[in-house]
Amino acid sequence: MYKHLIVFFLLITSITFSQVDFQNYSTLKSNGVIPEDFKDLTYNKIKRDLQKGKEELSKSDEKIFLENIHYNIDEILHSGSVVFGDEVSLYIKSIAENLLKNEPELKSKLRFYTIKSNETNAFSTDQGMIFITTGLISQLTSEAQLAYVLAHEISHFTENHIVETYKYIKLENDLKIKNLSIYSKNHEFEADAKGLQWYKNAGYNKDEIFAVFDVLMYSYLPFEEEEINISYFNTDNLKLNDQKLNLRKFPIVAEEDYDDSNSSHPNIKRRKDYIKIETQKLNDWGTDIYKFGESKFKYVRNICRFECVRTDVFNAKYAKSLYSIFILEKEFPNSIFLNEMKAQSFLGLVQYCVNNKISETYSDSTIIQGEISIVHQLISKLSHDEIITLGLRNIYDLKKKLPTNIQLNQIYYYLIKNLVNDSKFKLEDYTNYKSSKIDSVNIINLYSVNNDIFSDEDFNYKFKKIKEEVTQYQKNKSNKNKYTLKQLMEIEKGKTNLHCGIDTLILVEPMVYSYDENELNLIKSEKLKHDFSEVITSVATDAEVNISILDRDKIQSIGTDAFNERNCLINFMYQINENRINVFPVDFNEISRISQKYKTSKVMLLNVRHQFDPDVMYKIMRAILIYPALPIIAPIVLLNRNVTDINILILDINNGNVELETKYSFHDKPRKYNLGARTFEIFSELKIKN
Amino acid sequence: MKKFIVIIILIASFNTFSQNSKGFYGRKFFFTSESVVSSPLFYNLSTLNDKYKYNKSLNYSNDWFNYGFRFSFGHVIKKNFAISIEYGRDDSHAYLTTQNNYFGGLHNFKVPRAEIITNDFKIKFEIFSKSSIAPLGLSHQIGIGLSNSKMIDNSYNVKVSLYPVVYKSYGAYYDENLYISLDKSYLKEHFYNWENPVPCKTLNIMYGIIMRTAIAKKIMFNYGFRYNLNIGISKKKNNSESNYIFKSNTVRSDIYNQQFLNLINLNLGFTYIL
Repeated sequence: MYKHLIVFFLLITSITFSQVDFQNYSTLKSNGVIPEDFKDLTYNKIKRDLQKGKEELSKSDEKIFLENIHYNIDEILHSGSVVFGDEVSLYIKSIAENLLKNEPELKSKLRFYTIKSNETNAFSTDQGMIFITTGLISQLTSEAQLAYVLAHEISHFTENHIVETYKYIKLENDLKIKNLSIYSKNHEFEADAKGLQWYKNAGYNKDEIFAVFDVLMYSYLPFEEEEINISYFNTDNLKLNDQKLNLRKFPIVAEEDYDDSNSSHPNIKRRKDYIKIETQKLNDWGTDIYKFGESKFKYVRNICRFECVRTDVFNAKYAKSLYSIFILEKEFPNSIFLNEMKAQSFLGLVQYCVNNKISETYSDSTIIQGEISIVHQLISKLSHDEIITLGLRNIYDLKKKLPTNIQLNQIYYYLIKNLVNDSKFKLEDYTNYKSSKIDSVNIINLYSVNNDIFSDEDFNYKFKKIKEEVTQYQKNKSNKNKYTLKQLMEIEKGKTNLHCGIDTLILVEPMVYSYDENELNLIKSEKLKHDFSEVITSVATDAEVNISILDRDKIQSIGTDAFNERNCLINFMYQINENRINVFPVDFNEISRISQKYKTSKVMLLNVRHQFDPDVMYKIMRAILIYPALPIIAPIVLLNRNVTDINILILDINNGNVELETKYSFHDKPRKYNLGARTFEIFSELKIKN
Repeated sequence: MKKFIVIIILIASFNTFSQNSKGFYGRKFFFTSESVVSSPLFYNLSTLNDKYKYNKSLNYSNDWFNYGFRFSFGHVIKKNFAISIEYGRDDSHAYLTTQNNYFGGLHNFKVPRAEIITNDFKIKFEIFSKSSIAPLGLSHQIGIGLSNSKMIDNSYNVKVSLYPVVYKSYGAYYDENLYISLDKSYLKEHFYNWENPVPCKTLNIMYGIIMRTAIAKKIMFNYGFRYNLNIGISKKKNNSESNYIFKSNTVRSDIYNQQFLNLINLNLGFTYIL
């Protein structure tokens, strides 16, 4: 019996602590039942809160306040970066529940969510949602620090600070930023003091509070400060010339007592001084730093640190991602995920270099401090050819190390594609020693670094194949000149391009934006979006197109897995949109799984924008000048007053290619069935193959 | 009937060349019903006849609105082109011209406005804007057809005064108290030649700007304007019809006048996709 209990206990602990496999890490996903915060439509939330009423605000102010708050919060909730029921959120929740163990009513009002972001931030909403970023947790050094952050945020909620601030802004005429800053700082002091009580009652050590402020002060630095040697980037074949690079670390110059006159938060010194006085007022302080164990904290923090690497790759901050990988590799030397992220970072550097945007991947070395400044300087000092050599060498070696890894093979393929498309890349320059280009290079001796790669049959086959494809594509493009003027006009209008031969699609989050004269009407937009989303399913059936809709409105029916898939695809869209180059999907493995599950790699984005023609009056005035035509022109102008554009984007998630990008316009309101009819036409056209 | 068959054949022949047409949700046939509102503003301003309306008694009153309805059956030929046949009926009013020498001397009639019914039948060509999917969206309609108007027998109350009080250089003045109502039996015989009225056929050419917006999967709301040109095509009668207060030829020209000045209509209705 005793043995059984031990085995059972071991099983429980192994389940609790080994759910995330850091070797094959994949990004945080939501788990369990979808919370009401995600399910409810925003206008229903507003309606419900309006019925409850807020005594502090007048009816009209309350409506504006609720609209602003709910739409902004819901935008965050559905941004694709917020997760619920995951290990980080559950951990946060358990710490918060421990803090509020004597306040069950307050506990029941709060919900905790994690944001996948490298910002060091936490915030609460007046509805009782508390958000913590992975960036913040990755920087903390103990559970007690996280508990203090949570206590602080819970205080903002209980003290109604959001509504109070809104009321203050509304009441103050000619509000100066300095006054608002003072008002906001008072709230911060209040939250610091109020949170202290819960923190103390839970039995945490008071010294950890001061450590939180230190973490905040240095939060602009990576999550660890460890010495990096340039030899980290050396491989068996590639040696960076350290002397030629002449890299030096920029000192860390963070200050506690900075000017906070325009800031919403007091500076660190003032907060520390204030909290010192407040802590002295309280007695019987506990000594606990961990209530749920140090290993649990470090485990959760590692998840957040892995997320930081992913987010840096997502945001094309490759210098930062490489430095974070360098730190994490010490603890996880064989992590496949870190190898994949490293390969993605090198690929990103090559892609940005090929697109002449390399400067976007590193920061000005004067503002980057500490060890990471070495990596930033390295990238900034490498020439075009050197970055390509460094990328090619590293990706090739990683692929060789893990030959069966699909992602690394795909990254390698992307890399060759970029080399083919790079007008400056000429294979001969690297293979022929006599080439003049090589002589100019001094940081990396290009010749011989990649010789084994260039003599690799697989490389040569892929390079040749891609080159043929590119040549064929360019040939087709130049054939455009043979089109008649009418055909060319149709191509320009996007008419011909609708014919893609696609009959199976994943539609992600169709959006509707409806404007009242100049202002976006959020409620109307959301209602229209809801209608649009409803009608698309029946339209697809009519048009005989297999469509899987991953939409916020259908969250209740699609379930948590589909919600995660939606977020993954939205993130990929953001990644492409933010970087504006054909980047490699950061969540490649998840994307491939989605593609297999839905039996298509084609993802469609539909974005409807409705506004009124701003030139109506001008057109009528012009018609008055030719008054005999007024009875005809005026009704046409008035009936054409509504302008609705449907922006269509179809993306192949397997290769990141944009299959179709076009705009479909009509002069009418974006009513449910109007949109339905247009969508029917779009779907019908899409099926046709040119 | 013959004409109808010709039109059906015409539509069918268009259909053979329209294999790529899409239509609304892929459907090509539609039925439109709409109400028509027009204002006889120009007619009111231009006619010199007295404008009486009978509402328990005869009162001087302008007629501001006329109403009607239209039914049409259409077929989408191409994405931006449809053809329809339309039947319409309008209820309107005309202020009639009386015979000056009916009682052989000076007298004055008070006659209520005459009720006119117009039936019309036309063929319409609907040209849609580039962004439309026929029949959805903005369309420019061009139609041509025939209409037939007639005055309806509605037992009109007619008053007459045979005794002018004052003669002036420009005419006579009649005392309001001296008007007498004409007997119903007399009017039945002498009001108008109901047995054999002169036909009032017009050639109707119209241009319309109509917007259709979908409100359900098979129903659209349509609204817009129409500009009409009605040209009388019926010939005058030869006989003088001196025993009627209203001569057929005079009624004909009054109706033509009223029809011609019916220049603008406002149309509101629904289109059903078949």
